[in-house]
Amino acid sequence: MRSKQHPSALDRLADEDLMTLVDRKDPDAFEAFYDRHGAAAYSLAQRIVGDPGLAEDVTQEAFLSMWRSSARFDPARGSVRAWALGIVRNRAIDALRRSARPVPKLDLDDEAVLESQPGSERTEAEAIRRETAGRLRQALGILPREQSQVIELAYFGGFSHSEIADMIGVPLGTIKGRMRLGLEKIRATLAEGIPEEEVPGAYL
Amino acid sequence: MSPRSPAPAEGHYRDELAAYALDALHEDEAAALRRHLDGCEKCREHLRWLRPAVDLLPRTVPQVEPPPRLRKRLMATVRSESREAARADSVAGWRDWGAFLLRPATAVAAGVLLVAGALGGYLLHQPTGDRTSVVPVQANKDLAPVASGTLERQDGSAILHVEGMPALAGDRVYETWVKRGGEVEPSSLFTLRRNRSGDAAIPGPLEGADAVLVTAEPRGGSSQPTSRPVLQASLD
Repeated sequence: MRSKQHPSALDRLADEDLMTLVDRKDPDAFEAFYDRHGAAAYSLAQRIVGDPGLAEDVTQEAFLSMWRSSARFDPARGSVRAWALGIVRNRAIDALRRSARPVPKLDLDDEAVLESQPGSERTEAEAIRRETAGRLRQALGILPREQSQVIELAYFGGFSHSEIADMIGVPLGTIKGRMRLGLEKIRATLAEGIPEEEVPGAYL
Repeated sequence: MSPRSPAPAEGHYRDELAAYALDALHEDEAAALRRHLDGCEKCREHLRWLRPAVDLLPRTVPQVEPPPRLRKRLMATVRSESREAARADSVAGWRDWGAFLLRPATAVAAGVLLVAGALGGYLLHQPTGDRTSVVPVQANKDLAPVASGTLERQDGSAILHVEGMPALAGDRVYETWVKRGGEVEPSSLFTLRRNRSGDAAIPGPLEGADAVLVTAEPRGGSSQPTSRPVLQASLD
């Protein structure tokens, strides 16, 4: 499909310039945009919803909404990739909420923080989840578990602070405080010299 | 706090901002915080500072390849919607022509226009989107002795690729222009890679344009060229 066009020229464009063409409804530019960010989007969707089939639907929905410009890229907000993944996350969380999962009860040592995955995928999802927890801690310079847990539950689980407070059984203020400590620590680590290609948005 | 962090927002708001950045506030709380953000630069700055930490989270996820059928399905939908839109444009064009032709003063030339319109409409709205052509770019030998480039046109827009460009001072950018009749309209801005090459999208529309020009301009671009063109690509 791509051979008809000149993919090399599109591939050389910076993300922001590519989006100018996508805004003008250029299907080839959109295809290049998908080729750059589709895998990261699908990976994120699968992490959130657990089920590969549902992740596929979520990713397609998210990219179609970007194509149809119901969502517009705003350079002031950050990189193209961060923008696209933000839309994918919202769609994935919506899909989770539609599936009306029960709110799990957890304690601090519970590695399986998200029990929302459909049963058929449980084993695989479990494996992914465990690996993710490991990577997250590694990437984030080993946050205390109580901090990474609330961040994961909010970002990947789509739970509100009060749901998380309920789940873990600690006061609301404590949850928000842990979110703040965790995020600020990640951010400070970023500022202190992770190589540029490791900074989100700086790659690709 | 890291040395790079901004003047800290007040404690209460720092908690709120972190929860907000993680999308963990309830809608009424988020709305209240947004109202506060409207009037508080300190908090806006803190939120901006926090964002990259949230943007990092998707990268901690194991990367898996999406199935090829996802791309296939997505692009089939996108291409069919793109063709639909082109067809709708074409229909709207005919409606405009209809209104135009109904005016008595224009009726005389109607026969000629109708033929020209049909042909032009056909050429402009071929729904396949496959029309591409490459236009060579001429460099001004005084300003850019070793510059070269191509302008690849596809439908109404184009992509400019240049090499061997003169380096830019830190406060300058290259700006592209579309020349049409005596008018020159600003199009896009670009800077160079370390090897002096660069790319720019020219969103167009380029129908009826005479040339695409490139000049060096102050950062942020200009509304009219302030220096002589470094490059020029003549169209048709």
